[in-house]
Amino acid sequence: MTGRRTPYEIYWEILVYCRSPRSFTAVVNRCDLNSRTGQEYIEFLCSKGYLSGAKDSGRTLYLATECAVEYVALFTEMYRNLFDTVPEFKL
Amino acid sequence: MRDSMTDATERRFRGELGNFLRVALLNVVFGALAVGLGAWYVTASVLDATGALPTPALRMAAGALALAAFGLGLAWLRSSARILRGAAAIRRELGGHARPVPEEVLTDGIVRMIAQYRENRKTIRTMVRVCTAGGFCLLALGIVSALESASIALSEGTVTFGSALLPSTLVALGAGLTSLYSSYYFSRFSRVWDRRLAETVRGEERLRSVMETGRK
Repeated sequence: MTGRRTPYEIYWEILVYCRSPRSFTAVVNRCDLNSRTGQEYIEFLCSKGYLSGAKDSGRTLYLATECAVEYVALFTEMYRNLFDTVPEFKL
Repeated sequence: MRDSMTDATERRFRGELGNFLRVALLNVVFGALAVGLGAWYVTASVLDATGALPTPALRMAAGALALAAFGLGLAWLRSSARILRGAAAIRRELGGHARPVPEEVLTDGIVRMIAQYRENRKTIRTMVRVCTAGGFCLLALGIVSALESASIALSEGTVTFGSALLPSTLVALGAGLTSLYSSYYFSRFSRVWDRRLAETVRGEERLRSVMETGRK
């Protein structure tokens, strides 16, 4: 994804993408992050209990936990509401 | 499972994206026209290629305006192409899914559009200014050109236009008006998305409190 995203938008992307188990490389590629920032975001989400890491064939796969549901739902509702609360751009 | 609110959001988002792409595309086309016209007018004015420039002062005025329109057109074209690329990529992504798109795909599109706008906000504002200035330049160019090609017979009270300059005059006037039209819609787009951006900043507080609390 191009453009300037906020950390909350990146958290949302990681959590949605990790609904299925994903490797670190897959997460940073999909979410367009560099290794260092990707590591920081994943560590933060793991520390808060939104993401869990499990070893599989020698590599760690990350999976969003049940706790992430609340954040993802709140985020989705907020961004969807942007089109309900602000007048539409029409030609 | 999607609700009717999500369907309405998708309709609005797709509609806005389409409208924005149309305005951005108009900008690219008329940016290219402004560059072409500007280059043609500079050459024509310097060389007096049409032979329709009666005084050096008019030639200089037309040449200076053409040069300004050329420069503004280049800046306009470059900015429009950049904005267009970002929005077109979002539309391609949405277009790759059958309607109605899954909720996360729709939210992803909205997030990408917000991120694009956040990154290009200054460029869009500059484009509004460039389009307005370019529009007035092209209008002025068209008017000067029309005056150059016009011959007025005071005794008969008639005005006739030379056919050599008429097509370029009409194109300059058309491009000028379209540029002003584009800048108007870009500023409206900017106002709408500024409000959305402000909403996301306000909403961050709620997201922060949920995120920082954590569940461990």
